[in-house]
Amino acid sequence: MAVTQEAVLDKIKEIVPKFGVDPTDVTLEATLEDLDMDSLDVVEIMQAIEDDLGVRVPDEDLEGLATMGDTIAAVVKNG
Amino acid sequence: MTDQRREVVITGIGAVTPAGFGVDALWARALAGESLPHGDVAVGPDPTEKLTIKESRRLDRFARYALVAAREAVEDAGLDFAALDSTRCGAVVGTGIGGFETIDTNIEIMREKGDRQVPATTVPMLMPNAALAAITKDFGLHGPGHCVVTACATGNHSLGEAKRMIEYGFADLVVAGSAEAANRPLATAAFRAMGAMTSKGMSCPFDSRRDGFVMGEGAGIVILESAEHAAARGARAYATLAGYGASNDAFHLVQPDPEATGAMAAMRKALAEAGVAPGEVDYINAHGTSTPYNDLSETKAVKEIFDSPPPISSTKSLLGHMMGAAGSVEAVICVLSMRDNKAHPTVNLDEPDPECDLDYIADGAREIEINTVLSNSFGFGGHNACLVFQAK
Repeated sequence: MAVTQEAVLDKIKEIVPKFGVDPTDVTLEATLEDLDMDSLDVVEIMQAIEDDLGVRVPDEDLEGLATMGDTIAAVVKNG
Repeated sequence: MTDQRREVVITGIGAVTPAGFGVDALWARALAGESLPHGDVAVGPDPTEKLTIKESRRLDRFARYALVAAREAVEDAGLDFAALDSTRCGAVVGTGIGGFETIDTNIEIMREKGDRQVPATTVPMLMPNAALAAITKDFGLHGPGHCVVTACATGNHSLGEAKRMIEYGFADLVVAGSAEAANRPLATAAFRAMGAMTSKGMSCPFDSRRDGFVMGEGAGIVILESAEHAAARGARAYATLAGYGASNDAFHLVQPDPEATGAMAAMRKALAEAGVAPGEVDYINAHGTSTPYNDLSETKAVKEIFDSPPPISSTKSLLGHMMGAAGSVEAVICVLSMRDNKAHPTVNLDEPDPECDLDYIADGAREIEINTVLSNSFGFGGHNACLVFQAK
């Protein structure tokens, strides 16, 4: 079964407190910069998604992600 | 040719030790002569209490200790880096091992969940220069950076190399010190296996019962500046870092040379650089690990150099052996000893070893005029580093 945008968003909200980010700040429009997150954080999010949702996002799909919506779309595309 | 090297002064101090957060907790514990609880490990306070989640999650515990201690030292020195030329401000922050917790934890993740789940932060957290990176980024220090790794001599080497940077004009100010956090199953098992840690659960340097060290954790950081730089910004200078002497035993991987040739060379070089005769030293802060080998060879070395040795005490009797962090924390102790003219005791020295017959200040803190201090550190690998401090 393919993963939904909601499922990925929920998973990210579940993970972000350990990054020191408030889950309510995680919206589709929020940029990594808004959330004070960087590429290492994205790698960790993708590892958690691969581990928990079984979706593996290739590195090329992780390039140039600006918003949480972009990040989630990359997961849904590969789900 | 006259020596044109610049004078280097200490203008700030910070520490996280098994005595708690801060220099005041450290000095209170030291002067009280309070012994550690029974056991072979003395942990520090939880540094995440002083850091944000964002700061903590990218730092191994050793680097967290270092950052907390550095912030205390910077505040103590009254520094406003925005008002200084950041390209002239550097850092030398070492460690004995690096991010042991990160190695230990992430190997388990790899075994349990496979290569693809190994955290991307593994390398930047375990690398020995991670504390240096955290501190230089936190304060925006764009001058020279260096990470010294010489086991239990790391702290003294770090201050010594920072002294070199300043006295030869490569920097005007250097945040200098070291940190250690090796209380993890692999490290404690390994140190126990080599017989380095006490099986009796007590740090008792120079005592006949000594059988190894108690492992300690934490960090010590000092602010070193050229005397002119400190004066120009109206800073209080606690002391001068007057002498640095380093040598290698080139004898054995972990056992000190029983003749202490290397240790004596380092002490003599430090005294010579400071222009201090042995008779002028008021107090020695010993390496004093509570291992059978060190305490005997260090005693012999001191007796060889000093016709009438001054009082000497072991900070490791109070805090355990903070390994890579030890020398830096002991530098903080030396500064405080000169500030207050008080030397802390060596605790648990109740059954003296007849071969260890110096004045180890075994009977409680002592008030003595302290203007010149020698501090010894000797590390696995046979690396020796000694420092001489002089009161301002």
